Amino acid sequence: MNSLADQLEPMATWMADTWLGHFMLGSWAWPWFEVFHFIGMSLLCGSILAMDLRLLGFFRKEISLHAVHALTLWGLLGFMINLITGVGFIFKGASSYFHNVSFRFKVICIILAGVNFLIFWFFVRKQIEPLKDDADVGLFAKLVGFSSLLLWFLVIWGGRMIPVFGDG
Amino acid sequence: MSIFDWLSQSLFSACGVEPTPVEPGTVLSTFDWMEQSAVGSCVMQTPMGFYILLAIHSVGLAIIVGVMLVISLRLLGVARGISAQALPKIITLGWWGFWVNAVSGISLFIGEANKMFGNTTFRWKLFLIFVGMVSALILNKTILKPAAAGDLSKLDSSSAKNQAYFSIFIWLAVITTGRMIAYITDSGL
Repeated sequence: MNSLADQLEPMATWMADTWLGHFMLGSWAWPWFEVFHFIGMSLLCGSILAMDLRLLGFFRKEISLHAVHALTLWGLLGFMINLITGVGFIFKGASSYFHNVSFRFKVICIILAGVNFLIFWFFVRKQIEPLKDDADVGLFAKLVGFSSLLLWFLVIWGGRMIPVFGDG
Repeated sequence: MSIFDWLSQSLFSACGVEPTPVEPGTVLSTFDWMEQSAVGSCVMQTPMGFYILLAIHSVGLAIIVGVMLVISLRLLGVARGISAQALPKIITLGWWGFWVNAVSGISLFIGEANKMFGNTTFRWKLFLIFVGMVSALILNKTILKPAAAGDLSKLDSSSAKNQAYFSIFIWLAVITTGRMIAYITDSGL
């Protein structure tokens, strides 16, 4: 059942022995990476809340459709902070993460949320660009907004439940 | 049986948790009483209960801090397409996150009352949340509400920018101390 995680075992051993793996063993590296992981999470969450709620039709008169673009960059910044700190965690405890069902759930949700974002960037964005500031977007764009909200909250949920299913 | 006892017993049986037996006549300290109460026992003994509450606490945190960051960024000139009218409404969204975290946070505290009360980092976090709440109320009253009512000059005032920087600082400090509770555990007593 854990065949993929078992196959990745040599990689996990290698990761723990890199400079990053060793760096994460330091007594303050892990706590400070966690602090930044939570800061990135909040930045990402705040941006997608405003963007996705607007796509879903909330705040239509108050948030211009095009403000959504300006927030994308800040959401991406939050995501990058979390990618960097998250990679740090994984390098220290790769083996236990790969075997952790909650971690795997989280990674699947991140990948789906990433695909969802690419759909937004390459399809929805073009669709909504010519629309007026207070326009209602189409059903497809709303679906993308809803999926984004749902997936990112599942990412938080999966991440916070990791300790229940093993260490990390 | 008082309503309080009825509620306690309902919670115990709903969570499938047995109350801790206490010798008649024993006087519990306030924090021991909290930990042995229905809420405290169920938080700590329901399978995954503690972690489910932590997960809810993280979602609430992401909402309130995320909302305060977006509002602060708007006051610093980002995403000007977010109108003045939107800001008091968005801050209301943040209050939802706050109440989610007040309820989940108090429940978590009751489960570990002795340990948490003695944790200096936890006390700093509570203090910073208080400062963050007061500053959010002041921001809403002095900047966001007047701007939404038509006084747009408020949005670009230097006071708005200063309050935005302060808000970013205070909420990031809340996150920092909140995370550090797990790592800096010296007793303040």
